[in-house]
Amino acid sequence: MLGNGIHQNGKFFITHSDLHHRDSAIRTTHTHQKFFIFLLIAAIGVGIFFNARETAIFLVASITIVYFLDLLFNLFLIVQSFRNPSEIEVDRDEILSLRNEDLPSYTVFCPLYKEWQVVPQFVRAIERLDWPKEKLDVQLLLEEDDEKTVEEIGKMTLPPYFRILLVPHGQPKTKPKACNYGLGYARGEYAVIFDAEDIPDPDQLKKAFIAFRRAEATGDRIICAQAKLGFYNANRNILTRLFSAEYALWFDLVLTGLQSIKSPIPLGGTSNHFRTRDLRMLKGWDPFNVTEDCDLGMRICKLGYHTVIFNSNTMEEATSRLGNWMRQRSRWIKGYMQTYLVHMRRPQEFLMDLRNPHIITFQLVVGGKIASMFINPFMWVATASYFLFRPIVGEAIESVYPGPILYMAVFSLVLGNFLYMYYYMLGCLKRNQGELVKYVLLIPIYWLMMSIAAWKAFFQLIFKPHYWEKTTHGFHLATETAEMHAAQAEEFKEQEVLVPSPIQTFSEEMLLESVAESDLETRNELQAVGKRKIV
Amino acid sequence: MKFFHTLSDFISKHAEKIILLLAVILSIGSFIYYYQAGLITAYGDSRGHLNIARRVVDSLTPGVAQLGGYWLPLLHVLMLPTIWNDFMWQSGLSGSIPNMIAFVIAVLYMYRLGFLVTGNKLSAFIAASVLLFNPNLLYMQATPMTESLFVCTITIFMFYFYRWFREGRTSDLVLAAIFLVLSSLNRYEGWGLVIAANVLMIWRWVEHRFDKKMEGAMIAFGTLSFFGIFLWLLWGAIIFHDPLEFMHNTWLEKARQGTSLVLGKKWVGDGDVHEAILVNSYAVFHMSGIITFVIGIFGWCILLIRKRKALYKSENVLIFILLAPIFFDILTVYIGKISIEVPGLSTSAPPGDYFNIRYALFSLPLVATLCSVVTKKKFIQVIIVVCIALSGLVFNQEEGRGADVLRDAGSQEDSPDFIESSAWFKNAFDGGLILASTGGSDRWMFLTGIDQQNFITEGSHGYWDESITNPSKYATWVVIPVNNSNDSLERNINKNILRMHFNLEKENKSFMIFKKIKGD
Repeated sequence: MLGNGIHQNGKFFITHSDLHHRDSAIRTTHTHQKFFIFLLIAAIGVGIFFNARETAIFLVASITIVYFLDLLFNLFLIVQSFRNPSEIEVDRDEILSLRNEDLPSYTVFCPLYKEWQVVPQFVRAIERLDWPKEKLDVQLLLEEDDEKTVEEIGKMTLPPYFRILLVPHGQPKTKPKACNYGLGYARGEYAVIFDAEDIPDPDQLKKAFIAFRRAEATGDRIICAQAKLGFYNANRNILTRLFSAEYALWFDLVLTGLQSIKSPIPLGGTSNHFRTRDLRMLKGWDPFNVTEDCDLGMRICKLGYHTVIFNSNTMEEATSRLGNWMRQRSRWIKGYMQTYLVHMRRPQEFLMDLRNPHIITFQLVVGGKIASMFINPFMWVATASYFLFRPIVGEAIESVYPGPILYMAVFSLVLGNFLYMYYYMLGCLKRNQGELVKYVLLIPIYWLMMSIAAWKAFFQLIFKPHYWEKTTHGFHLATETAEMHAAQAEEFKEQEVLVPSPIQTFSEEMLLESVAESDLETRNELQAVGKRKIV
Repeated sequence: MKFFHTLSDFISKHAEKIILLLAVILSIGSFIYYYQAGLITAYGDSRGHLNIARRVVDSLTPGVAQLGGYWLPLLHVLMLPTIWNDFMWQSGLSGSIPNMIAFVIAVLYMYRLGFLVTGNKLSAFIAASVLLFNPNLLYMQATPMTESLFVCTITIFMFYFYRWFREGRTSDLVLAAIFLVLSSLNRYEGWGLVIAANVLMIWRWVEHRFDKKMEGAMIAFGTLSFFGIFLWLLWGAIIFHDPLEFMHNTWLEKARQGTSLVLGKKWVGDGDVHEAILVNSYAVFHMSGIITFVIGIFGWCILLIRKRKALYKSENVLIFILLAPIFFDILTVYIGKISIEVPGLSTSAPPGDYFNIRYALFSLPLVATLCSVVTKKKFIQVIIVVCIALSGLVFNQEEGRGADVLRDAGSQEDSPDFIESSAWFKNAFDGGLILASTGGSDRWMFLTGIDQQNFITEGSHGYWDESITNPSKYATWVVIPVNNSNDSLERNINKNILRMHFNLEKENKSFMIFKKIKGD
């Protein structure tokens, strides 16, 4: 796995993954997909040329039906999440019953890029994890060319179970590539990804371990346990409040609803837990996909496995600046588009279990989510125009909405928009974030921003498909929590648990020692890439 | 004594099943009884409800735009799956079915609410029996009227709202808000309930010292619960270009003026708060029946004594909310928007002594709750159930008609001229479009049994506007009520063109029926 890559257009990309190029977003679209898109556009063009009105009716009807189905599907998910709460609940007693000697080793991946400021916070969060430290393998995955971060972290004193891996310079320079690199050196039986600004619940690893143990006992094909994400700076400004409401809806209602019907779950960017061997079997992450987590969630489903949500939270930093939010959001949407295109190359793979046709949920969860962001602005403009300029455009708009379609459209417009807004409120209530509920009334503005980000993502998908727009973290450190972190830093000194840890250099022997003897595949790979500089 | 204990044990053990079974039997039984007596559509309003739903599928311009106007649409929407069938429409069964289902569900939830309040199955059975054996509700659930449905939605709302108040589950609050929305889309008393429930939520927030979690619950509940009202206003704005169309409806104002002109006085309770309270209290008394009413008063006294030191306990919240529809009716009587007449407090003139007395049916969940808290002694509980059942089903039979609401229905009885003219037209109709107003002739249209697509009415969009100015353009027949100020056709039609192109074919004290001159 380590040192492996993909050859494309005369270039060789080191991806540290065995993922086949047809499962990768290295090419945005394959020839047959391009042909299909061309045919679709041509058909619409011909339709408009010969019979513009009928074509418009067909398009409006198609869009309306998709919206209507999406509305019903989301309603179903929300009802499911209330009626059949399927997230795994692990209680305190079960955690207390675990004995340290029975716990396996756990690898924590923490990819970092130009965000050394948040490392002390991360170290503290990991220190608080309720897991025997001698069984922790925390990897700080730094980019070789990120000299400032390397230098700053080199000055820090890190706990002994932390190690620094420098990901060799090269394209693509993405988080999934760094994680693949880390996976090659993972010592743990289990593995989890945390972002550098994350603060997971202290008992999260134990809860994840119990979730896997339960699945093994019941024979469930569970391969990934996803903790819920939230924000510790939710009340910073309106943007963070709306962002928090969105997360509350996504993790507390939508994902639990999806889990209850065992549908494909787009993983969150962090706090997804795996057995390391499963992660290797899945061939890691796609380094060309800018939402590698969503892509991995789909691959898990296609292979007949499931993801579960469990009752643990990881608190992150919500981006509090509009430009930063726009960069992050457009990357996410671009990644969803990449994922959609990758998995629509062979959609029949979703149909392996005909009793549970995941192709439909995939279309609604990934495809529908993207499509609505592009179409929404047009629908809003059409609605506003209808009421504001009815004498001028009223007749034209009415003429493309035949009876049943009009009913569906009005239903989706009035009830649909209301329900979508209301779901955010329910998410906040379920997460005990009542203070955010009133801000949900501003959510239409947030939707508009998402649509703008979607168009930005669309152009990026064409011109810079693999470009990873980095989200800057640590804004919160400069303001309201600066004092808290200073106090935390003091506390670290007082604890005197740290040993000086400059950037560690791992010899091939050391790496080989870290891999179990039974894991011949990894050992062979390590020996094969042994001559590469591993710092 | 042993028999009572055995009976009470049996009831406790199988309470929900017994209640469901009894509710289904009584619901179907009373429908058959009133159907055979020809009383399903005795209320003139019931025919209006049936026609509104029918016009959605059978009209010159069919579609959901036919909904709207003064009456709220929930019942009409629930009739849509069956109203297309002529028998279901003309028999009224299309409206009876949702009401009968609603009655059964209301009884079940009344039981559950009673159990939640008292924690005692027999007490809960008492609560359910107040609805179950009420002859007025049993009649209303067999008709295409809105009352049974409203009792159902407010009972379910109360169950979830009260449970949220005690246990704090978000799902209960959402369900309470959903049933409040349904209530507000069924009757305007539901709007009063929306306001009362939100006042309580604000009070709860203040009581919790502006707690953030409670603030979220309050806003989420308010947003959803007001959605039904918002939808109705939006509907008015889209269909009638007036969000307050239901308030600007001319019918009420004309009716008020009519009463004033005849009697030289206002409606009972109009502008007199004491009289308004009194007339509503009498109405509650009549709708509950004397025995149930007395037990309910006794239960209230017990509740006040038991909880007087804890005024803000959940039971009092329940009472406050259950009183809301009655407060709403007191208010609307006081401001003169509706009239309720009871013996001894009526204007002693048409429409009669029991006019609109059915509105007090909305007090039944309150009376039922109060009856349920009277005692937990099994022996007395069984006696109370037996008394309620006997008073409802046996002692309350007056004039062989079974329910006071039938006297209210009787006040809307059609005159012989009315019936005669509709029968004449049914035979005379030989095709063509009929110009008639729903304001003045809706019940008449129903009686003729002629498909609604043959009528040009206010809901026929462009056809109506053009026909008012030029009746001969589309219509072959024109039907105008005599001396009916509610009729927009009589007020607005171009009478010169009418006389020029139409012959008066039939005239009696109720209607004038014109037919287009042949070859014109």
